[in-house]
Amino acid sequence: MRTDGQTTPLLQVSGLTKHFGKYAALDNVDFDVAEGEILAVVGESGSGKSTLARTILRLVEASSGIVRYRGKDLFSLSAREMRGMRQNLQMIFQDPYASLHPRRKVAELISEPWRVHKGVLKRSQWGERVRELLGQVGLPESYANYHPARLSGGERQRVAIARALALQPDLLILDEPVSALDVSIQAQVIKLLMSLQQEFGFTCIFISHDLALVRLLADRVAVMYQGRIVELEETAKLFAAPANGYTRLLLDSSPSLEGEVAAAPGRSSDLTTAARSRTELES
Amino acid sequence: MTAAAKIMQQPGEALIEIHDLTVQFRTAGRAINAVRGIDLSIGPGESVAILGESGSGKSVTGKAVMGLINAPGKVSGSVRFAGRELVGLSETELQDVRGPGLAMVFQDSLDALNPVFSVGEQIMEILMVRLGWSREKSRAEAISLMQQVGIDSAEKRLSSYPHQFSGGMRQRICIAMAIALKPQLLIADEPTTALDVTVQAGILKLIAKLQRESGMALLFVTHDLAVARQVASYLVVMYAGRIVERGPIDALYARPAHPYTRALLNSNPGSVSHWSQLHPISGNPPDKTMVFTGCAFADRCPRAVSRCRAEAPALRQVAPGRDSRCHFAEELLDAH
Repeated sequence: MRTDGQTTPLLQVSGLTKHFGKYAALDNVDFDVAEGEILAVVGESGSGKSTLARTILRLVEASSGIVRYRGKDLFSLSAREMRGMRQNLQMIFQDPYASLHPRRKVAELISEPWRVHKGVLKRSQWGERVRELLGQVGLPESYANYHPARLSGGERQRVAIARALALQPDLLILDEPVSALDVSIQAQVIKLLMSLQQEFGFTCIFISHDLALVRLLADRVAVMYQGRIVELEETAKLFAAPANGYTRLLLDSSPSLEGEVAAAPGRSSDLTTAARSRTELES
Repeated sequence: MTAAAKIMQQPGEALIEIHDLTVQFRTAGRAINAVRGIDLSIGPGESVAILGESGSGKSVTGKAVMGLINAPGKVSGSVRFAGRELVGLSETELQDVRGPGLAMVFQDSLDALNPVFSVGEQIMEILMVRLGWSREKSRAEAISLMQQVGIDSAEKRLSSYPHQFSGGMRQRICIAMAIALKPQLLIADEPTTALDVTVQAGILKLIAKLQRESGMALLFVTHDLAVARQVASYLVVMYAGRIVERGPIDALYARPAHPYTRALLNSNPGSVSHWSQLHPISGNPPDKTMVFTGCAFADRCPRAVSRCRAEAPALRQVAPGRDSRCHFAEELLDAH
């Protein structure tokens, strides 16, 4: 964990646990996120990374543990207080086909947060602010009157980003924000997100299964496996010298443009056995 | 156009020869051009990957070769497999070719298997029906096939049902079924897209190993540049229903001869070290109802000039073993 912070971290997660029946989707997870930091959370399906995001935002209630935002215990807040708090904490989901209401126009979708969080922005200013947000996410103003059905996947995700930014959140949780998009569109959306992050300085938790991608943008990476963080390290260090066996397995398994998976001789059999024994566990 | 197709092999050597393959669907009176004329031949034992985004026609190409496009989808052109024309064959005639000739592995292994029969029954059925083998002989072969695809304690797992296996294990079983009749060509349509990366690594290794050892040809359909690199030695890049570039995969990644391939490589996270170095492709992939007078990629291409919008480039040889559908392919090659 980070020890250099004289200031309070933006987010402090400790002992976070979530059981679904007997199954521990999150098992005693601890980490801090500093203000302005981009923390990547990587793992495979079932590792608990999406549950982590949902638990932090109280979209599902934790079984135990504490999440503090600027020192304030989120789990002690009433439902009403938590709703107010969500002004600062926004999330972008993987599937822009599911996250945008099909019967709403883009302008309504983007202004919806102001409808929920009354008093943030005067109604007379909504139109102008929607146009401004559309510009920031690289969409023409004319899109304000469109329904999502007219938009491509990449454009929809831009609308979702505009909506998340409408409240100028301090923390943005991105749950696989580009993995539903086409290869040629992924880079567009990543560049957009990261330049917005540079401009506005919001803190990011970036959840992804794609190691090649998080390497390009994260300050630190947390690797999750079976509900636990097995390694949390600065990005460059993690990729150069992964300390945990599972992190190494993940890195070795990622296909690269250079050629064979797990090029190191002698590694390959371990790799498949490890991968296999893991799937056997599941089966 | 066959001239371009024959660059890969001498005539007569090809296991499968695809000529001017087009696939068209219709919705609400509008023509959907999924595949707009493909020429490709694959030799025995060759490993070829078709790379493309959604809507590029890559999967439909694989299905059309396999004879899996149902009416009202319309397939035209020619697919010759071991000298026999497949386009226009009846379902019964096609069944002779499938299995020992062509076999296919799909993205979703849960859909591909029958949930009410054990995996052993499903593998054995192929051998009993197609080869007329006895139960005992088929059972022994099913065990051997499951071992070949890396399933531990195969004999015990024979009586398990598909839902009792993980996604990766199920995909291994689908592969066992596909290779049961020792096909000459295996078509794999995004077989690892639904799988976790550690499981994917095992399946890719398995496919590459089976292909190498059995000498069967492989046609691997994928959207992932890095995955293609793991299994194929020859790459075909598709865009808007057409082949835009093809060649040996190493050469193609080192020196792409089409702006689209180059752009895909430049927007791939694996090719840079910081997000600011990514060069995204602007715009969106074209609509399948669109009709092009010029190059289909022109609207998104950084190099496009007026000629590109007026005159459709042909797929042509631009260097030994390299084909590109770009007016300026030679300039691109020289620029590297």
